[in-house]
This record gives sequence, structure tokens and C-alpha cells, in this order.
Amino acid sequence: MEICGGQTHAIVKFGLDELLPKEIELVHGPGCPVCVTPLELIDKAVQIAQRKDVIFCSFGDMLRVPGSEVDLFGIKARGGDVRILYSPLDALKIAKENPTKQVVFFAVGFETTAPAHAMAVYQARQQGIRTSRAGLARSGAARDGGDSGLR
Amino acid sequence: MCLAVPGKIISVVGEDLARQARVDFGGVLKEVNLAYVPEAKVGEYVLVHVGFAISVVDEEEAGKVFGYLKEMGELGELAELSPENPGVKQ
Repeated sequence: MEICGGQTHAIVKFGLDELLPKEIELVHGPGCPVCVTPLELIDKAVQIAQRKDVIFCSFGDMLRVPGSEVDLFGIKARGGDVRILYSPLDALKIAKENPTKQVVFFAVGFETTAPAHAMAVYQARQQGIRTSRAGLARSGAARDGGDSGLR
Repeated sequence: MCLAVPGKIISVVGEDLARQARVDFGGVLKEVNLAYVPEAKVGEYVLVHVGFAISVVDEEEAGKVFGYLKEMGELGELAELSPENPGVKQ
């Protein structure tokens, strides 16, 4: 069993599953929030990250996920303000330091990560940082689209 | 995204949901929010995911997990981002 969507992608793309002897059964594993993020969400993230008034923040592994044409690393290479964060709370610091920008955090994750995103929204409101839509781009359970935007 | 990493609490500031700790991950210090483990104290080990402690673990278990992660080469990203410069690779 492979456990990462990136591994599944490589296996299927290069036909590795067809090269295995028949005695071996390959079972595709669960993957993580990164690899089950729909292509349309990556494309949306790419569009937002290209805007001049946006600082686009994300966990590092999301930057390598390909969109229809380009990934977030590609937008960063072209001059987009794309930042890799360790914690959603770091987006609050960036928002306070850049009051004229819209700070968007790509809030991907399952149940383990949801409390972290919730805390970022909660603390933003406690600290008077204006938040726009708090619909989270979450893979898995609740998918209401949109991004956690902090302004 | 996939991993939670164990570290040792070195110091704590703040209260309630804003309670923050300096956590030592094998020499790398990072700020961690303790809102979800209100019982965690200085000297204890916590499992950390995206900047939040999600559970308290015992020292022996923490040591084992940290060793496995080091072996797998999964600790590189910890050293690249510092709490003083969030979002900036060092």
C-alpha cells in the first residue's frame, strides 16, 4: 500500500502497478489532505496568489501540488508573494505587519488541523484583525469552498 | 501536513487560548500554542502539529518518535522556518 497521493500519482503515471508480478496486489492507501485537494481549489489558489494586493500563505507541501497549468511554487517564482508558514497563527503576524494587504491562508487539512485553523480565526477576531470569508478550503469532511481570508 | 513532531516544553507564557510555549525539537526551538493541552507543563513533552500541541506524550515515546523522524529525514522543514520570521525560509 502506498500512503501518499504523490506516490499514487507517480505509480499510475509511470505504470508501475502494471510492472508488478501478479502475486503482489497493490492497494492504494488513504493519502493526506494535500493529495486529496481538488484541482479546482489549486487553480483558485493560484489565481488568488497572483493578485498584487494579496499575500498568499500556505503550508509548504501545498506549494508542490500541480494545478491545471502551474503550482504555487511557480507563482512564487514569477514574483507572487507566496509564503510558507509553520502555523496558521503566523498568518496573523503577517496580517498585522501588512495592513494594506489581504492575507489569505490556504486552510487545507482534516480533523487534526481544523482546530488550528479555527484558532487562527478566533484570535484574529480577538485581536481586531478584520477577517472576510472564513469558509475554509478543507479537504475531506466539510467542503464549502473558499479560503480563510484575513485582512 | 502528515506529521506531528514531539518536542520538550522549555518555557510558557500567556494564559488560556493564548498560552504559548517555546518547544525544543532536538535543538530547534519553535513557538507552539498550548490551547489544546491546558495541562501541559514546562519539562513535559508534547506532540506538535502545525504549531499547536495536540497531546502530551511521555519522554520515552517522544524520543522514539523523534528518532524515527530523524531517520526518515522528515525534520528538515522544522529548521527552515523560525518563529521570529514566520513564512521566511532561513
